[in-house]
Amino acid sequence: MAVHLQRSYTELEHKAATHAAMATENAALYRQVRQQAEVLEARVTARTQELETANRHKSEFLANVSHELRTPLTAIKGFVDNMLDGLTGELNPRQLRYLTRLQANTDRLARLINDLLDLSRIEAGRLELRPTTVRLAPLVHDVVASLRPVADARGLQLEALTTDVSVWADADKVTQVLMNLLGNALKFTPADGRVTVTVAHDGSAWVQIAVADTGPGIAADEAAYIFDQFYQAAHMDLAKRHSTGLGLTIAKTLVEMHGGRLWVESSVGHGSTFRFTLPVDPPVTPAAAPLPEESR
Amino acid sequence: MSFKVLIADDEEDLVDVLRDRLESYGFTVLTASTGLEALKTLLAEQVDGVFLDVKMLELDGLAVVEAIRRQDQTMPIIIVSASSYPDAATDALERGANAYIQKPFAWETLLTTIEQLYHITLRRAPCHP
Repeated sequence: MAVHLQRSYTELEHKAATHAAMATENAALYRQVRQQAEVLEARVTARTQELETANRHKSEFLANVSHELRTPLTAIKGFVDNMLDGLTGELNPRQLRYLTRLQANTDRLARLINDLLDLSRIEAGRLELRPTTVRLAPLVHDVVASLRPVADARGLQLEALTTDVSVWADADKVTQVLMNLLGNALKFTPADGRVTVTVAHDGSAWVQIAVADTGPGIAADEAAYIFDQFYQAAHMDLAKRHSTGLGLTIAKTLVEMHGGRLWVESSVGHGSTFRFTLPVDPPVTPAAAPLPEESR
Repeated sequence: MSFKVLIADDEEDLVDVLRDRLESYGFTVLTASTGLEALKTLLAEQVDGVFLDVKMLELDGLAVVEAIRRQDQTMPIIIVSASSYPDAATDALERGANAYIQKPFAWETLLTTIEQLYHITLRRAPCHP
């Protein structure tokens, strides 16, 4: 019996010693983990500072580059405009044609610079919305009026069907989205076609704006990519490549910054309808925009 | 109407573009290629307005605006800049400029601004010299 007890006691002693050793080891490990965590934390802080500096440099670089691009572009555009406006005397038909093309291309370059800056500001999280209560009907009619000459020149009907409804949004950004969508619709719809802007409100927290055209439509597999940067510029018919390829990307991002959604409903041969939603009221609690209905 | 204006821009080409157009409307145009030169010209000459670039050597356009406004609160000042900073326009207007035009500009924008500031009507193209 005594022998048995003695053996148990020895075993206990042994176990206690083992546990004590483990505890010491754990404490050492814990200290190591703490130290490593501190090292990691310091590294993360340093890296974040590095990234912030790099991001600031990138923004400054972009601002400088766009300034340097805009300066010669201003001179080119200015001289071309002066000639087209008759400052150097009458132009022969070929001079007129060349200068008109030069003008269109400088305008395109200017738009590209603006779009690239917009996109880089959006990506850097530096584009801020200045939302107010915006009445949509006058805004839509102003945009439609400014694009009326383009529609007339292309032989297209352009109409707006609006209801008197207000949204909580940045008016300039909503105008930019509409200009992008309408600009595309007018560009891709063949002569004698129709482009319609509709503002609809079913009484919910969201107003839906639709830009519908009678153009060639977009195939389902293509519709998935049209919001990608430079997709249009790279894939569309050369004759229609007057855009920067960034318009839809910017439009979608701007709508999403308002909490809304932008999507397309289209099929080949049946035109396209781009729809987006904007909130009626300022956000109180995080709310989700309605999901796009099933594509037709 | 015969207005005398000063154009200050460090890019000779941009001075030419603007001068040619304004002269075609009967303006008398003085030019400067730095902010300091612009101020020196303004001390020596009586002008009816200035067109200023922002990024210039010696003294930038915004500093010129402030210098002018210390003496003269009414002279029309139009800033014509290629700046990409979102607050560039607000900044220029806060310092006392009457208008901010982004380069590259559409003549329509600039002409409308001039018409409003000088209470005149400028003919549109074609405008033979």
